[in-house]
Amino acid sequence: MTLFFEQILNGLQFGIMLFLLSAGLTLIFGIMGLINLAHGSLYMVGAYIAAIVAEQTGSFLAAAATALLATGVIGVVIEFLIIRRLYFRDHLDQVLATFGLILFFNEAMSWIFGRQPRFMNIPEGLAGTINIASAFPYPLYRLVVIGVGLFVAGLLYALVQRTRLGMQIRAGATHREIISALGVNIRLLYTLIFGLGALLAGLAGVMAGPILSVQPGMGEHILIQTFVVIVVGGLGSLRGAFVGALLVGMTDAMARAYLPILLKQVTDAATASGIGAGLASTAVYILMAIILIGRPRGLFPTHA
Amino acid sequence: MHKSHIFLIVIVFALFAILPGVAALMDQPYLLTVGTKILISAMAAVSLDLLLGYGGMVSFGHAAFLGVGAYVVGILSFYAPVLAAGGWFDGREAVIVWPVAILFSVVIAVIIGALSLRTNGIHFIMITLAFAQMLYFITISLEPYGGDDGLSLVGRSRLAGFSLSDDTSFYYVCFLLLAGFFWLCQKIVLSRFGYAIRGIKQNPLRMKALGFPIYRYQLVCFAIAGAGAGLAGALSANQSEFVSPDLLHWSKSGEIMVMVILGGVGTLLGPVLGSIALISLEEGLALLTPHWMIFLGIILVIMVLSFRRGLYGLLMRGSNE
Amino acid sequence: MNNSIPILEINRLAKSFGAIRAADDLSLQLMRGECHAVIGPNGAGKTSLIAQVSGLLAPDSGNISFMGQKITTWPIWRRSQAGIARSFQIASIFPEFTVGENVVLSIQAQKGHSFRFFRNPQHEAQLAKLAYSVLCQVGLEAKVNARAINLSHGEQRQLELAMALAGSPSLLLLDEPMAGIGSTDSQRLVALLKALKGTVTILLVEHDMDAVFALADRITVMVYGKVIASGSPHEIRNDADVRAAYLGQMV
Repeated sequence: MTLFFEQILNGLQFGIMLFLLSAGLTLIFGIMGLINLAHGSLYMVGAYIAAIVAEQTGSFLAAAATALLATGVIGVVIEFLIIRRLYFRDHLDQVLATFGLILFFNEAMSWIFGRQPRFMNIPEGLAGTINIASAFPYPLYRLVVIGVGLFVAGLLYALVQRTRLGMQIRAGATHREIISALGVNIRLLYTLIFGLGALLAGLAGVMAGPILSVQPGMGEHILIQTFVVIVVGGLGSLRGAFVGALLVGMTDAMARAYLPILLKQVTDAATASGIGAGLASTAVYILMAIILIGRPRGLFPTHA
Repeated sequence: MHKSHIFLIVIVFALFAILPGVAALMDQPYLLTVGTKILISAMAAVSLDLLLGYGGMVSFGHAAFLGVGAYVVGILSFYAPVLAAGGWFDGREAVIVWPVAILFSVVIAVIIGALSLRTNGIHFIMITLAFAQMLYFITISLEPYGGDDGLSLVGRSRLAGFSLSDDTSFYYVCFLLLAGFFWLCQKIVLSRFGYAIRGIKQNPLRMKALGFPIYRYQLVCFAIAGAGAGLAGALSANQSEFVSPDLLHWSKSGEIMVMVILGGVGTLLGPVLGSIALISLEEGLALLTPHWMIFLGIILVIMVLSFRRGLYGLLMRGSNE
Repeated sequence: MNNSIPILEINRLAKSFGAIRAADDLSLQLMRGECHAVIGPNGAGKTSLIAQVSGLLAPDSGNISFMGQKITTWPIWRRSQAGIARSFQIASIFPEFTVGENVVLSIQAQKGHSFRFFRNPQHEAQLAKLAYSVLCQVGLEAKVNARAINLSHGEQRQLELAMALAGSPSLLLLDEPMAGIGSTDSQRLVALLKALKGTVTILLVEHDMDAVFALADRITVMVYGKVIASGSPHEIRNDADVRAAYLGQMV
């Protein structure tokens, strides 16, 4: 039973991180019509900078702050130099250009920081476990990640529902062609959205640092799952990104935990874990396929 | 067909034809290996262009068809002693094994296509990717055939009894197969089927209104593309004498797609140019610096921002002036 | 030719979009060879009618029969294969192909299957001949090698019609073919459609009353998805309900 709750929390934690990434990506794709393969690279850059600064200064807060600042700045810079020239290009050209950015960033990180995976220490105050409902221990840090993620989700909700910028974002998601006719400064809006997406990706990277190892290519692995989330959730919908991310996170955690166990009932241990691992990796895609059959445009489609 | 188009084709294939000679003259057998790699990727890229550039179906799981073709070759080679002992057939005879590889790829392509074609847009891209990922994870769990580590081949296939272990002979086999496949695709895109599939790309609703059951044509296009990729996979397995799940990884699909886009979508020759360019850049830059990926990335970005129709468009524009 | 059996029967068709009734217990019959015009104010459901007959839109209830067969559930392409052709209000062509290629593709759709991988259809004598004759009919033969995307707006409309005619349809659905074209072109179009009368049955949705009265054998008037009058041009001209609905637009 504790395994079950533990996996629920793991799924929640993974889902929250996916949400931070997919929130930006769904806005960028939904509003700007841009396929940005380099989104995962911003996540990686966030993780790297946080890891390095943490190593040098020993302060997690300093690491986080620096990483967020750097990722935001880098996001705005690449938007200005490259991304804004891609908005009206064919999707395939966007794929090629942002693929080039992936190569660039992956190798840049290798060059500057070396190819060895880096490990970030869990900040001292957050190390150790806490007893959930006096029943089982769960890493405090992961709970904090969930907390931070939910807090940011709340902030995003407030931003989108209650501010002027948020109104422009919502209008942009549903009626992209009209908002410029209404006098909205599109250039600025797009840059802000891209920068916000970069910041969120960087935050996800910072929080991932102590949990996963920091290495080149880490962005691409999670990028695919991020795309699954936004397709499941519905392009351009933050609500969809939230629900989709939690669904994907839970499915992945549950599948990884329980499939090998289930398979052990029918076959021997070695085959079970072998096939189980492979099957668990595909669980998320099967989830996506099932959802798309019932709801071809995702759970919360935005465009009319 | 445009004169400059034919001229460009002749030049490219002529260069391919003389490469082994040049490699021998320069005493650089390494060039032959790179050349073979280019020929095989070009075949994969051309098959994707048929699907993507002419059919308008952006499949992000093309590597799966390559992988299936490769694994058929690998697995039959694995069982070759057993097959020989039982008097069945030669598990290393290309004339038997390669068509089987193509057949399996076609079957997988038709299955994936049949399911994916129920969707469109980004959902189609994601579904094709999902299927490819499933196949990737399946091959990883194939413990008897190496699983994660991959499977080594006993040796290359024999072509009608002749050994292909000589790199030059193998190169020319790949060259002829690429030339043949390219010619076939050229014919197809200008045939009734080709016009139908291109019409579907431009205006599917109009095609339905004209009386075309578009789903069937798209599915056949998937089959043809799968066949080409399957053959490329079989050749790839032969070249390295090794198959591994990496061949089905989504980054492989991405690489092939990059070749098509870089070279020029919907031009058939473009993907060949893209294959030449990408692999040459990878190999060439690697000689200059271990951090060649940074420069490759920058070059790709610059190319996209500067040229609209890929390398093919660039060369054709130049020749028209 | 048996003129007493309708070639197209629309039976109690109903289609709603939320509160809007595009078709409200709509019944209509077309006789073989006639030119039947459907007129009415905007929002009357005329375009939805064409969409439902061509197969683009599925009705909520009711059925449609073509040449005695119930086609209500048939997909678009199957109706086209049966002989129903449609021209679109906004020209729906193949921009990358030339005018000739556009028309050949339209003919090739109706002349055998297209799972042929070697011969260029532009070189098939039968297709080329038919394509040329259709292009002459609409007056576009001089532009046969022009890329469709480079055609003027009016020429694209001509191509649109050529593509609908190319398959030698039995029933032609025309959705406001006169919209936005000049008087010379509309005169030519009227002459063309007049020449087709008798061989091709035409369902004509139109606002241009001159064209309607020049061409129509019978006219049906629709308002809010309902038929309020149907009969000969003379009867419609003098109908009080029609007058009320149109308020003197027609005299």
